[in-house]
Amino acid sequence: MPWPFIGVLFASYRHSKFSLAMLMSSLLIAAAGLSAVLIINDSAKQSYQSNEQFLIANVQNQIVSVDNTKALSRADYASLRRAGFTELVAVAQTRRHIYADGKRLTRRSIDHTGIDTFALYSQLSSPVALSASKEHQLAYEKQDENAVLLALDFGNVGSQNQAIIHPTLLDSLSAEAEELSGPRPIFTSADGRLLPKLYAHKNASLGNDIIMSMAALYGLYPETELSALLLIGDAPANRLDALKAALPSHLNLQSLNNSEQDSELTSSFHLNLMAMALLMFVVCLFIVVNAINLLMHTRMPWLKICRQLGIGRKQLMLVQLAEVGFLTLIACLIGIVLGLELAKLASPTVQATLENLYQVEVGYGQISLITLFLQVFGISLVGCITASLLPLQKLNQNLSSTKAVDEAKSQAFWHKMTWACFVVFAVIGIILLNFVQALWLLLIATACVILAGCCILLINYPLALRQIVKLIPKSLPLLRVSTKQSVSLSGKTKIACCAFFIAATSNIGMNLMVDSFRGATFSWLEQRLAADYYIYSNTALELDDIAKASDLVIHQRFENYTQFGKREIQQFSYPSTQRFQKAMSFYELAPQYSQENISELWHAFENANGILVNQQFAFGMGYEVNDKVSIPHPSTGKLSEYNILGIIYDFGNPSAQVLMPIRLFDPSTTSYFIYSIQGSEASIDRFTQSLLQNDIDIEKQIIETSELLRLSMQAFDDTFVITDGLNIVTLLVAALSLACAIVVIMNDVRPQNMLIRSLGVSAFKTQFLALFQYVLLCLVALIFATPFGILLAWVLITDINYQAFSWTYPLLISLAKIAKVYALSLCVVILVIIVPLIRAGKRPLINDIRQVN
Amino acid sequence: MTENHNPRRTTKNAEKSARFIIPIAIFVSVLIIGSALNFTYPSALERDDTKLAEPVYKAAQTPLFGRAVQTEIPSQSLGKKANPDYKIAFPQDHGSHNDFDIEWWYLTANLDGDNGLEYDIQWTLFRFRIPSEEGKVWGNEHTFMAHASVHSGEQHWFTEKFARGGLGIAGVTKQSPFALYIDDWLWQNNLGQRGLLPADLDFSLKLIDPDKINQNVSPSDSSTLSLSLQLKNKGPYILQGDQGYSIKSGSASHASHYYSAPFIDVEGYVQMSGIDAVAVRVKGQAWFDQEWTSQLLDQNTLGWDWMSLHLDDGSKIMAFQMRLANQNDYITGTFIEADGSSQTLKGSDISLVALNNTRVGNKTFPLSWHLRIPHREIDITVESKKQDQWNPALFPYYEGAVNISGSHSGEGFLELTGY
Repeated sequence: MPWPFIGVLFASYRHSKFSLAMLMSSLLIAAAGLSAVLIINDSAKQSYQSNEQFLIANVQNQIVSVDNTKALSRADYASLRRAGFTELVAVAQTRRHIYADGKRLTRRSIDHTGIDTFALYSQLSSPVALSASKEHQLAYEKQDENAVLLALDFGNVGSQNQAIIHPTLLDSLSAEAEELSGPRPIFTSADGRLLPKLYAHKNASLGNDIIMSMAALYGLYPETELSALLLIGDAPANRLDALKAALPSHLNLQSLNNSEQDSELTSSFHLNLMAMALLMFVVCLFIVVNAINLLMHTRMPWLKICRQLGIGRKQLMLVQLAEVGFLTLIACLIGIVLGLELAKLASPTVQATLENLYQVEVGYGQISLITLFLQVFGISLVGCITASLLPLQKLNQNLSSTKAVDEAKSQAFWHKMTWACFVVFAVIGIILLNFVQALWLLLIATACVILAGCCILLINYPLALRQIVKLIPKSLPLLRVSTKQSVSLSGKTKIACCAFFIAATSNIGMNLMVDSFRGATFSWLEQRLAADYYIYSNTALELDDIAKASDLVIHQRFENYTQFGKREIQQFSYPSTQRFQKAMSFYELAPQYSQENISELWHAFENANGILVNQQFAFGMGYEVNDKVSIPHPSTGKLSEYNILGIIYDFGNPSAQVLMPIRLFDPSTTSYFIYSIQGSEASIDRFTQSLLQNDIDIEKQIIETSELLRLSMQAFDDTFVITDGLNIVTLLVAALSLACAIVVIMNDVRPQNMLIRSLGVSAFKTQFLALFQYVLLCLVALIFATPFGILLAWVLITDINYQAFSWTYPLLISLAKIAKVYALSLCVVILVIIVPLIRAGKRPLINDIRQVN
Repeated sequence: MTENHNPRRTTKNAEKSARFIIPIAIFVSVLIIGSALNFTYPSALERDDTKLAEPVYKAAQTPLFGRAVQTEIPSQSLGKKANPDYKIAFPQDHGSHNDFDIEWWYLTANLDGDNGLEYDIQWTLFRFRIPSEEGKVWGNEHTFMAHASVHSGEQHWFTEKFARGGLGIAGVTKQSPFALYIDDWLWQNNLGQRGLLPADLDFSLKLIDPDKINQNVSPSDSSTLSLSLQLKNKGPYILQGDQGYSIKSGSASHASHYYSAPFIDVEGYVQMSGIDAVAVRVKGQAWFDQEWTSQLLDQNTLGWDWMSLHLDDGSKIMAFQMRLANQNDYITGTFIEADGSSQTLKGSDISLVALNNTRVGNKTFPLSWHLRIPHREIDITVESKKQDQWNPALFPYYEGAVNISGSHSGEGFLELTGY
């Protein structure tokens, strides 16, 4: 029976607190990170795979207006319903902030959705014959979701309106409101109108939105326009054809097909998040290896006694393996709870990112905890047992008295194996990067790049350290000894150093990518935002005369949406004045043009001989400069052929876009909504005053370019908050791994330390030298990681970004950024290893001497 | 490890620790599993006020429907009351009386198909005035509800519709031609005039089929029945009660304006959708009622039993009984001669007695009645054509065809509420 040994194991916990803490914390981080990402991914996917629109089940088609020129009206809705298309249900949406006590509660505006619940009920009502129902069971009692929606209107005769909201959003709103205006807050709109009574309802399709009856929405925001008519139920092809035939020209029947489109669109995001989580998980497993190693090391005397008492090696191994499994179970349980909290914290950011980047609605989702537990525990258990095999095998060797392995031979074998691994990883990486387009394969290629780098580090670590030894003058004997020791240390801390290398490489790579992206976005925005001020308006404004009188130059920007191939593309007007010409940021020019004769390009553009397209258009549809494209004329809709004069940068825009000269746009058929203004601050003041005199109040809509730039960059930085967080966690985990390895080594180097201290070197100096050794190891790892980090950034920019977002930008190698990663990494390492070092420094010399004896 | 440990002591300690640690570990694990299983992402608000208000259809106060709406509309929203001095005038009184809270246009018809089957039809448009600030922006303060029901053999087609007024989806036209409409259901004067009749009535409805839920009422659905009827008035409009002022309670405090058109001839087609759809020609007679009020039933009213009867000699009877709490039932009616002359029946003129109670599903109804009007020598039994003629609507009630036997024969419709 293994019970006596299990007892010993528990007793030994008192003496191995540090290694246990390391093991548990790494397992916790791994489980928490993994479950958080699984939850985020799953809940986001659930919301757009739920085949629901605003809680209404089975909506596959909708009717929307073709463009902004003529909106979907109530008359359209009524005439379609009266024509017999009673499966159409109107919805209206408006994005607004929520207030309590006159103070704004929401950082991000919330979608307020109104549903014509009367029409919905007429459609969903499914009567049951009285004689067929055993109990008095009514149709609407059978369908919870429908009942919830229907209660919005039928439940509130004579009482306050009701609205549905996800419990999480209600929680956060209530918390925010209670902070600002005390308990039992009253939610209002900006102008103080009472919001309907909010009721929490858990549903995966609910996200950053509030659902209410149409009457309630119009009561709050009377100026809202209808957004769409949802077609409920499975409509056969002939019904869809009849509906299409009945539609007026300004309306369009669209297939929603949410699940496929959205999950395809956002798969890159989920894949990236998953890749980051797995990276963190793998790095955590490195700590697990080291922590178990350390645990075994601490237990060695006990284990030897157990062996002497006749407990079999197999039993010792199995019990310890079971122990790892049990610890993994506990860590997973706590980790999942932490992961849930983490996901809750991160979900608003994730939602905002997905909604801004891909324009998809993201709900909160409902997670099956059992499935989540099985996933996390399964992955963790496999990982931990794999990670335990190496230390346990080592232990097995130590416990058996024979030393069957020839150290030198083994080393030579591993050296060759490392080279072989490098070649394999490098070849796979190169092949994948050059010949593959699938995003998941490209991520594997990225992993290959990092692993090949690992092999290079392992091969060259001792060589590099020896070179460093040569550089240290003989007048510094202690430093030389210490450096030489680090050569042998490198052999013993291979795994920890690999973990650190992986963390550092990905850190440098991600940082450089984000930095390049940020730089490219900033310079692109700075260049493109050529005017001094911008006005964003939903309606057409007659500003020309007032602007002229105020000494301002004003340009209207026209926007149009049209079909090209099977995709919807944006047609934008672009002014070709000198200032705007300079503002254009080109990715590629047609070969006949260069910066010297750029005016010829603008001449061709002005004459409508050619157009400019964004990267998303060119990469997404496979066009190059000088290709001819036939797209509809922005005002007449007639197909015309245009030459692609150049490809421009257009970061953050998920749509393919074509820039065309202003004169092609007809103001009566196109909606204008951006006005760019050039002029001084004084002129702007005069301008707004004149506008006010003409009863046009647009003061709030005028945005100064610097403010616009600041807001855009703020949005950019918010997008990468999660990436930054994961980066730091990965680094921390790697440093912890290193700390574990160092604690093991500290015991091994006690004789040497004792010798040095016997020569009169102070404990402080000894520990300082030890710290120097570890920092040196990290520094070398960082140096090796740098080129691979740059390579990783290049792969991310040119391959991953290209495939995921259809845009790319120049790689910006910022030394400051790399130095920051160096400093941060070394700081983290020093912080983590300083504790065991100080503890070792405080140990009396006699302890070390005793141990040697 | 530098200390010299005594293995025996260690083992003993370890055993102690194990005894101590194992239950703690198990307890902690159970605690974590338990809390994790109860924990759903993201945590729900476990508050009492997070449940949506019970919809009114579940409220006990609204069991009475059909021609006898008992509403809970707040007192401040009460509309105009029925006025005994009001003189009903046509065609303007066919239209909507928007100052009143409740109004309906109610048609029942007993038709024979050329396929040998009977088709008993109900088509009703209800209007409710529910004043609210919000309602004024999206539509207006009127809500429309419509019911259509067809019984033929064992089959029952039924559909209800809801729409807010003022959107162009449902309403009653003020201009010529007169029309009642909700979605694609349309009653329209076919001479382009402001009169109620003659009119075309087109609507479609779905089969009540326990195997199907959420059926679309669309031409592509084989369970959809479409009706296209022409309605011709062959007699006068009958003003019910005292010149159209109809008392609805024992205390005479509740009343409505009420008139009928009991002499309507109907012709048209009934068509089932689907591949083997055949149009069935139908013919028969119909009864139309229009009624408007702001307060129809008194809170003491337990229910109401109403019938409209076409006797084979061409005369017509409308009779109803209010079942009142702690009071005698209030019975009244109208006898209409074949030539259109009519007489309001007082309680002493008429006897209306339920003969038996029949269990349908989980409800019990009096589906057989004995009606006597002694001074007209009328002594008839009114019996429902089939048992389950329950309208399973949001506000449910019994509305079904009846056969007449005894001193006279004929057919008609029976409405039962409050059961």
